[in-house]
Amino acid sequence: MTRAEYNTAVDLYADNLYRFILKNIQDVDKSKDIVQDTFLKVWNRHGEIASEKAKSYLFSTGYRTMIDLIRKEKKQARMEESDLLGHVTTDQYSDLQSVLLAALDQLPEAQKAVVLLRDYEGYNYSEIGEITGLTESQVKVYIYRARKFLQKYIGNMEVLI
Amino acid sequence: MKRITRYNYEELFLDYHEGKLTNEEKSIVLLFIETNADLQEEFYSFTNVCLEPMEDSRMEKSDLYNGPHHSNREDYFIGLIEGDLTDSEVSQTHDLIRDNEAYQLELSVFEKTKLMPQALIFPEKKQLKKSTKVIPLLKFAVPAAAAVALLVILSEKRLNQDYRPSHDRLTHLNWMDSENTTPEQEFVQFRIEPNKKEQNQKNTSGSAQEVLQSSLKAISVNVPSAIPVELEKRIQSPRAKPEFTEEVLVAEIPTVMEKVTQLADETILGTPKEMATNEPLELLAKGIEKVTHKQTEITRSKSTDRRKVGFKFGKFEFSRSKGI
Repeated sequence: MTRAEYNTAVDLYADNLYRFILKNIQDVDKSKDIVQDTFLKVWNRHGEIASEKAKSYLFSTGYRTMIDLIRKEKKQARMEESDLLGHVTTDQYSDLQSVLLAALDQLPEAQKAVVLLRDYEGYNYSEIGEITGLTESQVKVYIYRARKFLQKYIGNMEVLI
Repeated sequence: MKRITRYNYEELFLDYHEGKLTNEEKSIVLLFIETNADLQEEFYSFTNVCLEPMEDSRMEKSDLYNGPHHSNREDYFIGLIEGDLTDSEVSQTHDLIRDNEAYQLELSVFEKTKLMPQALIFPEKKQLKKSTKVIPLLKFAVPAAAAVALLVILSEKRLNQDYRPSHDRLTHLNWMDSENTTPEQEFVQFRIEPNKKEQNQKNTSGSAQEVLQSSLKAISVNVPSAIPVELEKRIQSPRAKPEFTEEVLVAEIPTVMEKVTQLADETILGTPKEMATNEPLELLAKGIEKVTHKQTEITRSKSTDRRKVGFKFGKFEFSRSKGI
């Protein structure tokens, strides 16, 4: 990947990667850091990366960076015996997307990531597998489980609303 | 019927409760428990082991059918919105939904689980990009000039140490006064002129060609100072747009330096005849050409006061005094 191709990748995929990370971890600053870190890693190896694989490489690098951060923070949270994870929100849901995003946050990390990659980026099961390190079958199972959970969540919330 | 005793009564008790005995045989069994009152309780307990047929023991065969049905409909609904189903399965799923109106609502909720991409802009995109700006001449002139300086110093030292240790040779270098040149003509030029004293000595012992070759010390550097202007013109022309990026410099300059040094070593440590050639500087010229995309000629000259040797590359001037 040349410098020009790298810069094109920034134009094409920085927003998508940022959205993917932000929707996963819900933290603007950390999302920015992860995106910057990801692009830095890609630039450091740009000579080895084919331009047509740039998006996939960016997302897989970003995903791994994000997972590392999540694990690190979970470890810290356990050490500090934080009760933040049990925090109950009282958000009011104004529309379906809000309900859906709230439901998304209830999903396990892997299921959330595969659904975001599927819906936002339009990746197929195989591509998601490459990015997340899961098998194609695992990806499919996670997506199906996530859909069932979201369907039940939305169904219940629609009754409440 | 067998004769009933205390050793085989269980079998006959079971036959009695399963209705396998005739009336006469039943009478015999009943008489037996009358005479063996301690077995009465056991006799009546056998009634509990008889299983009554289940009222509805039919299996839900639809679960075994291929294709969508009540139990697996959710998987097919998800497959439908994910585009995983074959044409046949899509048709079967729609048939199932048509047959059950409640399923239509269920499918519509599944359809709502698809996330709609939201437009999010990464605010620091500009910082991620790598600059492709044209590097000013100054940026590559410095390393190139440094390469020239290194070569000259190296060649002078090696020549002095290994071949011609005398510093007198420096007095035979001509210094080209670049202040008198026009900007268009300004260039770096060094030229070695044969040492007259040595030439006279050599003339007596060898051919003119040999004398000339053995007396040459270096060659002039001829680098147009108008490179920046010309580069600008070339940049404006899309056909000949040069790429003077940091990447090019980082990749090229060390290579040029390395090759120049290597060839200078080989040449200087070679035979006196080889030492007289201008190969190192020619190679350096090629290196500079590769970086600047400009034709470059390198020669060496001496200062007017004959006490300095030096060269100039663009706006950079290098010189050393005799005996240093």
